[in-house]
Amino acid sequence: MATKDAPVNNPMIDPVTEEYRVIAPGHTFKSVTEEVSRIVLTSHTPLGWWFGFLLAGSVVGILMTALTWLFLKGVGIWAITIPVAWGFAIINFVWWIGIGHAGTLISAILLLFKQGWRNSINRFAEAMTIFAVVCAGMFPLIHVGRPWLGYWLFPYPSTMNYWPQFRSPLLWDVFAVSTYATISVVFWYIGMIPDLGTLRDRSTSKAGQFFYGLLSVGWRGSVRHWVRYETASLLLAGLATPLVLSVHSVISLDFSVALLPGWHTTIFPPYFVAGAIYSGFAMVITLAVPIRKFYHLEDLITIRHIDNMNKVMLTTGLIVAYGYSTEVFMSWYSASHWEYFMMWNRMFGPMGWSYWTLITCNIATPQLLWSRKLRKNVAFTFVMSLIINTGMWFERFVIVVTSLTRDYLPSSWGTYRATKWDYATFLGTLGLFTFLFFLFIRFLPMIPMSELRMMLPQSKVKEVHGEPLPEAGD
Amino acid sequence: MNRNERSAFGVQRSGEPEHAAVPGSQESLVQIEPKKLTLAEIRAKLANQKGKKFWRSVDELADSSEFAELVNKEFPSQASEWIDPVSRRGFLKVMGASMALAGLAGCTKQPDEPIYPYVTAPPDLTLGKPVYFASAFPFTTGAVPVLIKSAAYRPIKVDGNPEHPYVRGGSDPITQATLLDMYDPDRSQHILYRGETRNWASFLAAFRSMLADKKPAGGQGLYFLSATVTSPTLAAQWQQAQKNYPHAKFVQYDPANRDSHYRASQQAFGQFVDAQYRLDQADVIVSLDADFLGGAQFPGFHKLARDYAQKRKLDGTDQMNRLYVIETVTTTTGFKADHRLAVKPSQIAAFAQALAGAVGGGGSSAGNWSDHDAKYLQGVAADLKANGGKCVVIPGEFAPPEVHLAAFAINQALGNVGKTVVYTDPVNPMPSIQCDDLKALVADMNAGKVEWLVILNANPLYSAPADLDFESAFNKVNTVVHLGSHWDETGQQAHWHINNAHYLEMWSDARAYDGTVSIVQPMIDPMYGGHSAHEILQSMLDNPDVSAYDAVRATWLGNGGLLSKGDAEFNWRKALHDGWIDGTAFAPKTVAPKGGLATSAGTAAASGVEVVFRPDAHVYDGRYANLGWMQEIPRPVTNLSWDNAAQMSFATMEKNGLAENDAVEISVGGKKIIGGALAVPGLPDDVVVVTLGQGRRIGRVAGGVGYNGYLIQQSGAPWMLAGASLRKTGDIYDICVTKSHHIDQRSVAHGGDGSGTHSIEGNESLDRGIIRYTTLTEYKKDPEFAHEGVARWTPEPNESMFPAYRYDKNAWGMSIDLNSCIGCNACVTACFAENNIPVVGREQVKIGRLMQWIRIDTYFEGDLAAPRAHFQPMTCHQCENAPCEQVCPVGATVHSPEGLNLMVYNRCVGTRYCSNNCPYKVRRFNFLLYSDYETESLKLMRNPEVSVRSRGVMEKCSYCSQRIEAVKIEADKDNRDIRDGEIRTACQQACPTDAIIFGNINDKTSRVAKIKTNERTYGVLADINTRPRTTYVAGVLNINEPLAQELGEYSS
Amino acid sequence: MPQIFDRSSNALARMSLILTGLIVISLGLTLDEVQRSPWVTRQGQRADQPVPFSHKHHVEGLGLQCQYCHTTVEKSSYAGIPPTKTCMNCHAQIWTNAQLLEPVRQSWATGASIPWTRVHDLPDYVFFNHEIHVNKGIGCSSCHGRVDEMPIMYMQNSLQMEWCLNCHRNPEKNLRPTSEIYNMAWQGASELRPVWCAAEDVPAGSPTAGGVTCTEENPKMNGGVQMASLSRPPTGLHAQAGGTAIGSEDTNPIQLPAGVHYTEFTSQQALGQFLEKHYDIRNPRELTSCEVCHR
Repeated sequence: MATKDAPVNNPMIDPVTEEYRVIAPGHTFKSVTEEVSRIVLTSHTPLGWWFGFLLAGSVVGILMTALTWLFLKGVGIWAITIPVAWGFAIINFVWWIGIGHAGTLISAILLLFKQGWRNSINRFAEAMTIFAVVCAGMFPLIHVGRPWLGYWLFPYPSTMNYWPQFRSPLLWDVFAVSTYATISVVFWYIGMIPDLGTLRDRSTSKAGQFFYGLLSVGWRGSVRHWVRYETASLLLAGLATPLVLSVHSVISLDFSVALLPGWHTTIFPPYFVAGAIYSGFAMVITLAVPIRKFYHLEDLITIRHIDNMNKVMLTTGLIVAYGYSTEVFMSWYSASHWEYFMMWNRMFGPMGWSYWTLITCNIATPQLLWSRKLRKNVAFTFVMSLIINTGMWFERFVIVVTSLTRDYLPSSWGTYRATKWDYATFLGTLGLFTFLFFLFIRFLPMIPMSELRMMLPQSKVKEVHGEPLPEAGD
Repeated sequence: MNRNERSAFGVQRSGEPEHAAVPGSQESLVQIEPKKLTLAEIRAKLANQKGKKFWRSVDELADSSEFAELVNKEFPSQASEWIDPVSRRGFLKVMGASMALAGLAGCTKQPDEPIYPYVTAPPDLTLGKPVYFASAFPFTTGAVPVLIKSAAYRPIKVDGNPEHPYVRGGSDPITQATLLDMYDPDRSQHILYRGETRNWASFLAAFRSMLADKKPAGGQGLYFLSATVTSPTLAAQWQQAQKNYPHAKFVQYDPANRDSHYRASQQAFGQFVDAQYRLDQADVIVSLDADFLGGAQFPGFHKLARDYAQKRKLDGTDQMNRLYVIETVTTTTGFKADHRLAVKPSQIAAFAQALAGAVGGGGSSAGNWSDHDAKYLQGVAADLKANGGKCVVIPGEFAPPEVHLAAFAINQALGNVGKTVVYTDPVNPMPSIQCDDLKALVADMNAGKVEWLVILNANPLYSAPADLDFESAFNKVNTVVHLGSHWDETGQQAHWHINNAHYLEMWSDARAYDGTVSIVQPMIDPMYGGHSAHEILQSMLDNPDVSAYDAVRATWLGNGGLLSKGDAEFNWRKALHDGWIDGTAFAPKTVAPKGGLATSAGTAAASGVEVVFRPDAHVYDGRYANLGWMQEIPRPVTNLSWDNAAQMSFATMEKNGLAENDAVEISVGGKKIIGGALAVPGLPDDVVVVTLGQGRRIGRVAGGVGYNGYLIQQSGAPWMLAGASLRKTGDIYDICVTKSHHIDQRSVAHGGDGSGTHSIEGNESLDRGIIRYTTLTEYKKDPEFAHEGVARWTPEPNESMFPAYRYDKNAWGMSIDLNSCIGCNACVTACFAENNIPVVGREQVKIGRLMQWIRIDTYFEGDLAAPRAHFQPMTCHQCENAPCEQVCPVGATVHSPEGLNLMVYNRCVGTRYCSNNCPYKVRRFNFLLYSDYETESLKLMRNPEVSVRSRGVMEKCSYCSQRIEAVKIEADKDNRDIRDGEIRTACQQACPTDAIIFGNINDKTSRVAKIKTNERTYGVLADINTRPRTTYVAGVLNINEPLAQELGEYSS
Repeated sequence: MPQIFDRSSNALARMSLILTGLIVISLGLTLDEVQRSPWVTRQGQRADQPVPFSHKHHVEGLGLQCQYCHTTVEKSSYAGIPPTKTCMNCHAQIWTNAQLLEPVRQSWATGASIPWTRVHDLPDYVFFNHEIHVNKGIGCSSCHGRVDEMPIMYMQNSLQMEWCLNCHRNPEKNLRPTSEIYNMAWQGASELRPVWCAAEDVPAGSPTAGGVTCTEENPKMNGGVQMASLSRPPTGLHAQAGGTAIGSEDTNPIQLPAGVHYTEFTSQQALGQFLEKHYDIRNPRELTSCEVCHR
């Protein structure tokens, strides 16, 4: 696609394709490696990092307090009640899992589709995935009334001679989420090995050498290693791809399987997945933009990436919008009193405000992304990503809470007003997420050097002249 | 001197109510002085204990009064919470929960459990098998004959005596709750003299020396103030005492007394008579402000309710009775009416007399009635005249005497007397006009004539009408003796406080409203060695040491006693066994009202707001305010819980610029109280309803709940005050109401009715086929009405993804007759008692965590200013396609081969998914540790057959599976099938109108199977294919067609 | 730059992978064992009791009937622990100053209970009922083991849910003639010790043992049978149709008219199924329904 709006002399524009480059010109293997590894191997940690790290840390403190109180008193400290027996905990769970999707999508699906531009962002997208899943995974456990019996959800030969109930979607969650978490971690780690090797070789401190040496499990970058590595990544990509679709489909079944108006619908799996990717990419941008600025990575994370991600968001956003409209249409077309009332209540009931927030954040505002100019405007993109994340949180709020407040039996209609502990727990997970992420960018290569090197012209040149590929890190 | 001491002392006492809240704090205060635990010591004490042991020792510790003291000292902030029952318990529970966690590690193994066998076992005791005893619950309006379930000699359930000729097994919330009353941890446990523990002997000594002094003067200066007497023996004892002390005075006073009726009775018949209404004979019933379906507060409630319901069941007949209710406050009776009219309290008397006039009972049909009211009046009059001898007019207990006079006249004129109305001796052996007597007493007290005042089970310092200023009079009395179950407002001020024996602990006798005598026999040795009024009166007689037991026997076995004929001992045992004495029912009296009606027709349209006083439906006049069940279970009509409110109509609220939950100041006669404003459908405008019995100062439960209505009550007109004014204070009083009713603002396009005055819940309940009803004529035209129209179809069994279950032998099912349900809450209370349901407290109820397994849903139809209401008992429907079952990840809720939808508490991890997926929302969750694991006395009360649920566990109705299992085992032992009616659920057993039927639907001959074939039977939400086992019998209204058309009331 | 890890570390790495796997597996297996071990279940542990009461001595030695002490076992969920009185019935006369019995005398004198330690202790949420088991042909020894051979009482079986279900899922394994309930030595039918049972049809509503007579002696041969059946009215069999006095359990099978047909059972399975039919034992589906034990 031609980018007329960009000045032709802009070095970031590839004169041939007239597209924004994925990497700024003039980069060599060395420079790329330099760019990335300096962040990790530098001896003095930037003050900004410390600030953010400690801030996040203190928020984790809040989380710990909330959890302690929760275990002391019981889930009654939250706003959940009859009829609204699920609240923030489940909303956050679904929200975080959703966010977790971008990583695997970028690393797996885009890999399979040979989307080169993914390379510079896939690493921390994957990290984000894992941390998101960590936050998400916490909730199913803590939201139950008797967490200390949580292990009953796993099938094992107990003295009660009694097994979990396999018809229950909650049980499917257990397997879906744990599988997803495992695959993501493995994928992430395998992908990191060559870079860990690089770091090992470049690090000057004994500790560094030992640490990265241990992690890089004797990576020597020999051709055999590379072959194995490539095969492994492909296989994992193949494994992960269906998971990207399955996890959130399964989670959406928690709702679809129930007969509650507003839950009981077949459209959930597709639009949950779309929504997940939507919020996932939003979160990638939310993270990428500041990091890019802070560590001056404009050369590696270019406007091209921002633009592409925006396009993905626009697409998935439209799929989600389609989902919403289908819900509305069906509630009328089904001619079912329940569905009709549910939708009326969702829009104009006591909790209507949440629905309209959701529409504004998820459908209305993102339409701005049609504009090429705005798509390439970093600041705007950042704000937009925040808006979308909020919107996606409210989507879950509308589904979980609003549907529950007014269901079949009018006598049992209720309302929901979150308590300070609800907020503390949610905020806390945000803290935990950031906390982990700070550790990641400090101690692990947040951008895959090895993969970037392959994007460099040099590596393409190699194909022509058949010169040996320079060893990593020399 | 002496007086100053006491009053000073009184102040000091009332200064620290929390002591009253901590049982036994009296000597514990003394005891713990030497050893003062500190938290450090506790920690040390617990440090080296692990697991369950740890847990236990904390448990013990937590209950000790030292600990209570300690917490007060160590955590002043919590100390305040300490008074609030729930957060007090909550505080202990936080500890409890934390200990539980701490203990987890050690919990893989169970701790050693000791067994303490008897030294010599009681001969007739089989541990593990309950025993049943017949007794009677003496109540102001006449005794309720009861059958008491006793496990290892601990009473664990109170129910109506099913064989009693008058009550026939029904009961009511209060009767059910008297069980909790006995185990109330706040019951006074000691005899106190100025707050210090004494023994019975020392009281007797003081009392007798006083008697000796007064003997010569014939007991001059000795006064008794007693609650209404229903015990013939007590009356006999007093009459004897009167002989010895002719000048001693015995005054009866209950706030909710029957003065109106007795005044009228005096005026009309020249004597005290009670009116028995035979609703089984009546085709037309007119209630003049009579809440005769409201509960035991109305004399003869149980029989009235049963007879009323019998004539609305339509089984085998197409005849129904018709009920008109003209009332000043919204009651369940009013909502059961076929035609209801709300009139201002000042108008009720005039209306009654107008009605009398219209049916030719004399009296001017005066009063300027609105067109609507006039039509209504004419309609009722016509209907009455058409049914002379087959109709009855029932005056309200709290309506002015004129209403009673009018009722007498009407019943006389229509020839109902002897047919539907029978006059008998009063159930009270010593009837009196209580307000007048109390006034006289106060006068004497102020005049200093009263030297000794012995208060028997009354609490005048709390409940005496404000204008009497009882407290100042009280302070003029030398010695006050207070016999009471609690160390209450009066007890704390009295010199002597004697802890009363509960009726489950003592010997006595009492008359049911029809006069049938029951012997009250003790179920358990007095838990705190309480004493009864019998003993006090007996000690005035020549043979002072005769026990209550002997006194009662003397009354009935002594010469002339009914039981003395033939084999006296056998008769006595039979009376104890059956629970009543044959042939003691009153014989009808032939009396005719003399003189016309008092033409002083009430107060002519008074200006300003009128305040109506009524005893609370649950806590009554306040004596049951400390019972968690009675506070928590939502009141009928208002759904108030843990509160009383300033109830008014929507219009009145608007007119006074109020909104719900506004704190409003009600001022009348120079006195003020502040309560929360609550809009109640169906109230007349410019009327505020004040329910009495709240605003107690003592008790871990009662303390600080609601406001005290007595503070503006006046002895002259105890039930209605005109010329009151309302003021919005600007504060918010967050009333605790369990079911809200939003106004339906939907346009017609959106499925609403566009009226803007109807309840959206009400509208939806009809659209969704949850409530189905019709009129008698419509029903005759179209018997299938309950199954026609949208949302009224039922899918076929095979229309499910999962294969249908097989039910080989038994298939339990339930049917609830909406025509019979009067929304009295008896079933709810019974369920609390049977299933160890915890009380969660105000704050939890307010956010929707009430634990009741069965609830009475109330839907309002039509304009909320004058709606029609529908009651619907709602409990687990034991669906055959249960949505809850398939979503539980650990299989904690499963289907039984008999179709029960089981909830296995100890398997539940608490995901709450089942509750989300339950369309009936009948599942309840222990969000916090609600069950009380600390209070000893409550442990004794629990049903040993039902687990006590801990924190984090879902629970729900199980059709009383423990009862099913018990009967099953009996049947299996002698290889037979379970007989129909052999199993009765707690709610079914308690229902006074027999609205709930339970049984085996596989047995086509069973009652429930038969009624399920009735065309009016329908399943709520059956159209979503849950296949509920609980079905409802649609209601049928017996509309007076011409009147309805006149009023444009019911359009079908 | 020198490698930190030499070649050997590769082997080490592989080893550690395998080890981790092994550890995980063995941990699982251990836990699985531990949750069933006596350490948790207290199987076979002798609690220290105030009085070292010997069932062996009283049952085997003196031949006391179980119900002499556990009086309510047939009519209540709770079998009953004897009051001090029961002990004193005899020990007022014999062993009147045995040191061992001091606590008993103490209790008798002071009126304070003897604080025994519960040996068979089910969780509070389990509602076990003795009467129905005893009345439907489950003998004491099926759950409590050879109490008559226990000098100090201990728990024979784990009493864990899986153990209960074992029998509730196939009752025939443990069913025995109601006449053998208190027979501690009962081993069930086998090739070596066959059991003969006869069943007559009795009207519904008559007690379980009603129609069934069983004997371990071959009824075809001579030799009296002494059987003590329970919960059976003296007129038990006489009530049945035909009215002819079929020998009640105390009479010698020889006197049985040819009308009664005895079947020989040489396996517990067969006997169990026979009794299941004639004792109207509920089917496993009903017996394993949760509300049977949890309410």
